[in-house]
Amino acid sequence: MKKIILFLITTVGLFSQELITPIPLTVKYNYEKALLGKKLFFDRRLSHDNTISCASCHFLDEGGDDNIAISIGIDKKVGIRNAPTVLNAVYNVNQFWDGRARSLKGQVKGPIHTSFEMGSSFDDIVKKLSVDRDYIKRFRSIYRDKITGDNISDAIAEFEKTLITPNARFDKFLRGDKEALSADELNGYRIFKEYGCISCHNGVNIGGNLMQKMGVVEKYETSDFGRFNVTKKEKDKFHFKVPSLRNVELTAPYVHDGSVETLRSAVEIVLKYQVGIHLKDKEIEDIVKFLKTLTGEGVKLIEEKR
Amino acid sequence: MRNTFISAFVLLSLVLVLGYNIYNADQQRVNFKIITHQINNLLFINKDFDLYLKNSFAGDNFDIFQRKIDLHENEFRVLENSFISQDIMNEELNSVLMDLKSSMEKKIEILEYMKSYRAILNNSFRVVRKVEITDLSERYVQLYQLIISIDKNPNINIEKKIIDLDKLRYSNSNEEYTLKHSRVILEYQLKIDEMQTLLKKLDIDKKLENFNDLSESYIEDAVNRASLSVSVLFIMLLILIIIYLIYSHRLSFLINELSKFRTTVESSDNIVVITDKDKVIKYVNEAFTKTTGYTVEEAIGQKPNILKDTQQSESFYKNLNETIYSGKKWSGEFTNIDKYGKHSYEKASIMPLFDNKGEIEGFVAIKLDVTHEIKMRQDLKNSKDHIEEINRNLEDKIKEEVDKNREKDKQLLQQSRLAQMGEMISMIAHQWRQPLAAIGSTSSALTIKAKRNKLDNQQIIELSGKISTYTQHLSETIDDFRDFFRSNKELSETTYNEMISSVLSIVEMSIRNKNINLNQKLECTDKFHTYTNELKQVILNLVKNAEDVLTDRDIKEPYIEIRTFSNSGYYILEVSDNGGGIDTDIVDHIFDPYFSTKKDKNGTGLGLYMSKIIIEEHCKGKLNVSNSKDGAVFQIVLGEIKC
Repeated sequence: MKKIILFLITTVGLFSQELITPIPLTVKYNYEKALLGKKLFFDRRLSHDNTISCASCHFLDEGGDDNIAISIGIDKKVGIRNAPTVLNAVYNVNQFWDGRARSLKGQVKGPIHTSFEMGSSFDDIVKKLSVDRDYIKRFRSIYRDKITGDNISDAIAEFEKTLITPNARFDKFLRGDKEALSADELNGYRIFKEYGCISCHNGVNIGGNLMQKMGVVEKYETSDFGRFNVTKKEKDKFHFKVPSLRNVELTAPYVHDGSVETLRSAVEIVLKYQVGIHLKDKEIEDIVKFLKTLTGEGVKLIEEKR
Repeated sequence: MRNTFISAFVLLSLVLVLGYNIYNADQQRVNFKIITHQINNLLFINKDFDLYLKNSFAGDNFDIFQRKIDLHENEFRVLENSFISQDIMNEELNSVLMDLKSSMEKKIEILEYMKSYRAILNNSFRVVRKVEITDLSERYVQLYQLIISIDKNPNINIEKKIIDLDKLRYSNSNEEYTLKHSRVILEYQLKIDEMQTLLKKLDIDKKLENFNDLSESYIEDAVNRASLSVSVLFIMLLILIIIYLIYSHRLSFLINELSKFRTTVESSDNIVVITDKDKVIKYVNEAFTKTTGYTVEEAIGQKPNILKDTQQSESFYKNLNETIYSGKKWSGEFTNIDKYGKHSYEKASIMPLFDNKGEIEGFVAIKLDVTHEIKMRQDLKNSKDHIEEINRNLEDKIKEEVDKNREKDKQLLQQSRLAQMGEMISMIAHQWRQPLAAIGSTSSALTIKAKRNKLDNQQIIELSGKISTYTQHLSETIDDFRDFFRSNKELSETTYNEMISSVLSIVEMSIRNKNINLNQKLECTDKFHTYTNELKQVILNLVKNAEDVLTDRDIKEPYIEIRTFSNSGYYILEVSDNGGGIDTDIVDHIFDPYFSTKKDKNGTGLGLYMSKIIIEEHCKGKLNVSNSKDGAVFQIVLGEIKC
């Protein structure tokens, strides 16, 4: 009996070394496209009434989301879900809480065409942008093409690629800096691994690579059916994308409907419904401390070269 | 021309099709290699993933997991794209590929669920591992052990176990965790098993291999087709080469023939003019220039009417045109004027030339300059007239000559007669000699006796009687000869026997005196009409000749044989001797006039000539000569002469 446990622990320990990897320090991207994407990202003309841009729900200097439970769209319309962070979104396997976009590029059209978000369409946007000489010039020089929805998506996605936050303290630790984490933080990481948090939150983005049921051990009450809305499969009810824990400190409120306000409550809820365990306060605090080490450096926005 | 195009087009298409087959097959092989490679990739990915699923029970890094899933998707898309790009038209292959695609898609779906189930299982296992076993009651320990080794006990009836769990109650947090997570583990193990079963059912490996095999056999088909195409192409090439050789040979043969013809036409003495259908001259040969004086350059582009002689009538040309434009050949004669204004005559044939649609393309005229001939014809006519005149003169002349000849013949006859008469006279003289001598001696005796006065009347009557007899004999002799030699111009009936006895009465004495035997075999007793006296003269001539030759050659025991017989309506008389025959080099000449072997004895040479004339021309018979073993045989053949 004990032998088995030992064996399992060591193997777990060994394997869990590989389960989380640090964010690369740099990322390859097309400079021209990214610049164009940046301009579009901040361009309110992408919304129907020219009031909302991508940046309206994804504050790049505040964790990449909008710090409110449910995002608000044009005409003060309230949406249905919490805005996920755009930071490090490039490392997610899919985008949206229900995973309906397979790539950053595929995500762009979502908010644009959603009535309670930007409430516009590519046709409208193209019309609006086509009077802008600068856009025409840029699109022609980069894509050798007119302004199209596809090109717009491509440019924005290229910009979003650059929104990475490397060098979190935990990353430094993973890279070998043993001093990067305090004892409590280390303890938090240990608990994180031992109690199976790492089963779902792993990979380079510490999450974002798995669709999982919300309420594995206990049933979680929510009106949002999650992935089911996309696939219409019973199996997919209450399945949501496991969110990335990077910069989790900055992305309150939590959970798909933003109903969890603090990080600590989030940990508690997840422990109850997903992990299926009670932990002591100290343990929970350590986990929270650990989670805070996942905050990376602030985004360095690319600039126009003069 | 159009047929050539069509067959060339067909041939080209065939070559293109075959060439395409070969190219295609080669492409296919290359493509197949690619596909095989990709299929192998997918097989590897599949196996790798199976292994991965079996092994990493301890925890998944879902980045890696996802990457593996993506590999499936991407590699399959690569296969699909290369398959589509190859444009393979094969229903079976396509359907297998589609099946494979849907299987792949299903697998990926399944894997997504596997992901979440495995994460859950992983999580629960970690929790369970944290359980203080010491805290567990017996049942929970059992449960714990069961759960811990669940993957090694695939035969557990999980559903039953889950139901059993409902009966359990926990009494501490360890038991609580154990129970809760056992339930989770069992549930999700079941779910995972379901997914595994589904995965197995998909049997992607088998499908991949099946696809590979099908591709292979498809390629084989294409390769076989290509080999066949190569063979066919090769055979076609051979055939083409053979055809080319044949045609080229034929072509060179035809060219040769053509150049021969061309040379013939070029150098022919006949004038050849070829025009188009508007009668514009396209070609003339050398003879044209020679005859008309126009050079080739001067003639081409002109019409043949440059040679027209205005003296020829319009209807002549109208008839000519009508004939040739209706597709028929015209032959006739032209008068032409050459470059220098000289007249010439031509015999011409003008034929239309047809193209391969049967329409008139032009005309060819073949002409012969007959000016010379026409002149000659004229001359000939003149000569003919001249000759006719000469002919007429000649006829007169001939008549003259014939008359002359007749005269000569008459003279000859006359001469012969005279010669014969001479002979006759000598024969008479010969005959008379003896009786005259007898008369003389008798008369002398009378005289002598009278002088001696010994003469009485009885002696006078006796002696004068003798003189009378001899005188009568003399007179008979003359009568005989006279009758004999009288030419009678009329036919009379007689027999050989008659004539022979008549002849012998003249010559018998002479023959006997020379001790020549005379044999007579007279079998022919027929009566026939002939010129009797003349025939007698001939028989006499023959007998006398025999007599002469026997005497001349001094033959021992000489004989003359006269033989007559009749044979199929002919009356034949033969006079033969044993005089040794006639020399072969003169036997053909013996009937010639003036030919004699008796020249030194004053033979006139007329005898046999005249005999032949008499027998053959007057009596209409035949006089032949041949040599027997003893001597000559002269044969007279007479038929009944019809007056």
